[in-house]
Amino acid sequence: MLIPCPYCGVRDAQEFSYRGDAMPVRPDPAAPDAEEKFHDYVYLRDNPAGAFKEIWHHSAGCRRWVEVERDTLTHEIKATRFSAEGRRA
Amino acid sequence: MADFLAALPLGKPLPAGLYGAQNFERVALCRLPVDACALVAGRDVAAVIEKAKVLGVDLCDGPRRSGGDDCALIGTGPGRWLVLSSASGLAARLEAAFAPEASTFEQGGGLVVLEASGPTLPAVLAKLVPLDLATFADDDAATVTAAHINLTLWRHDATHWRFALGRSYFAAFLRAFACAAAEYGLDWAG
Repeated sequence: MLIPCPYCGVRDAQEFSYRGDAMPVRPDPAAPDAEEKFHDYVYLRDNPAGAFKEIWHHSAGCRRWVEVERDTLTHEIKATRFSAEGRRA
Repeated sequence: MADFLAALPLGKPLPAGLYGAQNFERVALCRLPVDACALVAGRDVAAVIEKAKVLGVDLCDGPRRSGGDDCALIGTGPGRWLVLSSASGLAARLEAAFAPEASTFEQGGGLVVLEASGPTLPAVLAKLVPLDLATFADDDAATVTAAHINLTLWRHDATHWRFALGRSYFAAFLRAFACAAAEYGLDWAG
């Protein structure tokens, strides 16, 4: 599988380390239901067959976190961006 | 096939000399005596690019080499460059030129810079690097792995490629390079 890194260009997936689902957002620890939300945040993950947003680390290249929109059935990659860009948007 | 380097110690760099085939198409490899620093921009990358003009550098925030007055900046990541210079006092010069918009980290003790050339060099690199280097123009760079060793390489000019890699991997990289170049021959200058 080839992953287009926003900085380095198209690279082999072996250059990347897989982190997992890009969607979970750290809950507010001051919220009244923080304990339950942190349980979900830490332990619960979706495992969809199809479109999925995930985080990869380009550990053998530019060493940046990359958010990848990938189809888990076909491995087709629709878009990539630096992870920090998505979080700040 | 038996390892033609088997008699040499694994942990030490190869002695200077000829390795592999003895013909006129062999690859030449030498070590460059340069100082190295990492330059890391803060949030304002544009300000760092502007400040680079003091060093005579038209700095590019991409995987390319930007040359200046007695120094070269090679893009290794967004807002990050590997800076090489044969002049002394590189870290102090960078600190004076870029602070506080960018941080400077001395890398001279941890990095080795090599230069390779020769008519068969593209065929040798094709065995080592999982990239299509034929598409690289002069000054194009990449941070990538070769024989499981992380390195930054760039096309210095039409016939020369340069590599920057961790000093602790120097001996292992030399062996991998010598094996890849064995069918054409390697002239290692040490």
